Amino acid sequence: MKYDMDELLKNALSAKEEPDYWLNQSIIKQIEEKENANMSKKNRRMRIPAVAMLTAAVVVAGSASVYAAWKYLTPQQVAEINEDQGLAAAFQSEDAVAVGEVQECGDYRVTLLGIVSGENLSKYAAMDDSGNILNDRTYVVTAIENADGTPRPDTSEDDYGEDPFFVSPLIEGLNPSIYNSVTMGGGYSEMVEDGVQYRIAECDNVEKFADRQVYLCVNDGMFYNNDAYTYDEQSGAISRNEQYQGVNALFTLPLDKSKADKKAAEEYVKQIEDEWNGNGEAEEAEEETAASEAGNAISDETDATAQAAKESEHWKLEDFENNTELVKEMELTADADGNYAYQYEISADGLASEGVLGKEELSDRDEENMAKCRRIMSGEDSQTAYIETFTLKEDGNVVLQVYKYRK
Amino acid sequence: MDKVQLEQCIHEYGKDVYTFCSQITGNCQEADDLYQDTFLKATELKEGIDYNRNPRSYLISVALRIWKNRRRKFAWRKRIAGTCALAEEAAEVNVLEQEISVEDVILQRELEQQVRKAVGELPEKFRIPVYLYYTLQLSVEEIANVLEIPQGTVKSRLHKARALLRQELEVVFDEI
Repeated sequence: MKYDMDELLKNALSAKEEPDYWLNQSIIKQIEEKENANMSKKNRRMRIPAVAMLTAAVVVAGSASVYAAWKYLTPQQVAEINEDQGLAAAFQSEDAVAVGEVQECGDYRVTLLGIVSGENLSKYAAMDDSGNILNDRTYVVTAIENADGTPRPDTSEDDYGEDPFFVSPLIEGLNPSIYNSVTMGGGYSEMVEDGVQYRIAECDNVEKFADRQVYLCVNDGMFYNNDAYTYDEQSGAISRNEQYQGVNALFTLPLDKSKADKKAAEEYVKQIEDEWNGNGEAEEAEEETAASEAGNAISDETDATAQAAKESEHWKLEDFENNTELVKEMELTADADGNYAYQYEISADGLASEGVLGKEELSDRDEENMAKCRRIMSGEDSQTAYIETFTLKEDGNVVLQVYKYRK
Repeated sequence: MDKVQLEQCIHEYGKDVYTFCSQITGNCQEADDLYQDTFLKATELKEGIDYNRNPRSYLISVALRIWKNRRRKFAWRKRIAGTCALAEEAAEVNVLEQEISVEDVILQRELEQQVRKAVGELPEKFRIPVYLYYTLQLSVEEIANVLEIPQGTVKSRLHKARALLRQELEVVFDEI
């Protein structure tokens, strides 16, 4: 029997789901309430246009690493191709800094083209995990080429993305395996023009740290690679690991020191620290609950989750064994990128979970090799929560253990 | 956007947006949350819902952004008890022929179930374009706008997705 794949997909996947009537009514009600409450505020919620100063776009720094920047698209052109006129204008403003510094790492040539920071610069709104709009951002444009002059694969080609890069600001004095664009609300857009791969990387505004050295790392892989750089805990300095064979470019970002804000920087570091330790998730869960119409039942549920997050923050294996019940244990193997995907069900508890543990999340471990990164899930009733822990084994595999916590 | 416009928007696009939310989350509770947050966020964002500029694509892109942001940080949690039957139970058998036997109906049902399963197991970069193309029937151009990738990339991903599905379903085709 011959099957038409297109027809089969259309039939199998056709839209059949319908939202509940009351769900729609709830949305309408919430939007109405919000409109009324924010009427005066809404009138001021205008996009702040970047000051478009038509100055020369490329200012080449006077160092030995300077490269002929005319060879590349300017950051403004990259933004324009990305159909982001706001960001393109920002890259022409006096706040933008064009750099043009190049570094060669193995088979690749990496060029830092420019940087700009500010509020509401891009038309593409980034959101945090709670759906809040992140509008105070730093944008950095880089160009990556093959050192042998062959073109980088176009985004439409199948081998595009097969040698991924991680681009992120790093901050002097902050452990880069924790404080990088993954935790700093990062994201990027990418394109390939004339065989050069351009990336607009963005994250939360780093100008608040301008009184420190702020770097930009470009390493191979999907995440920050601890082997590619060294972090001196004493001095706080971050440098390239010269022994590393892969890509480990490291630039210094030219920030305006007058924009440093110590207080904002401290608060920001604290916020990431809390999220990293699980407190943030608990708080977010509580916030989400407060916003939920479902109310009390879920609120109790979240309390158990929040309590589990707080109590287990510094637990070691022994504490888990003494205070909780082990309900699942499985061994995870790293994928090609070094990350660990998992999926499981605990039928007796009516629970299923799936996720990916990034390799960088294993960098901070206790003496028993248990990662300090844990994941907490609410249970079936208000008294129960589940805690996922990850322990790195000598052979590189990870043991995932799921503990049932009772309030 | 006034109440009438909002109701109209939900009436016109709610089903598509909800189906998409169900497909990418695979969970009833999560689909409800994502669907609700999509409309709330869509009316709040700078762009707003603009009837002159393809509101369906806009809503889908907002849903996708919220989902990606959430999933990036949290393990995607699914409860067996609360899981929707999704398309499986709701699906009605689509028959290609007017006159078919009961056996054919059962085979068709089985095949479509296998197809949904195979699509669900595709890597995300192929799965999402497949949902957008076959479920929501967006054009390649619309998908490119939603995913913020070039049209050529959309085409190649759809092509690759079909190839992967053919490979995955080869055994099923042979058996049926």
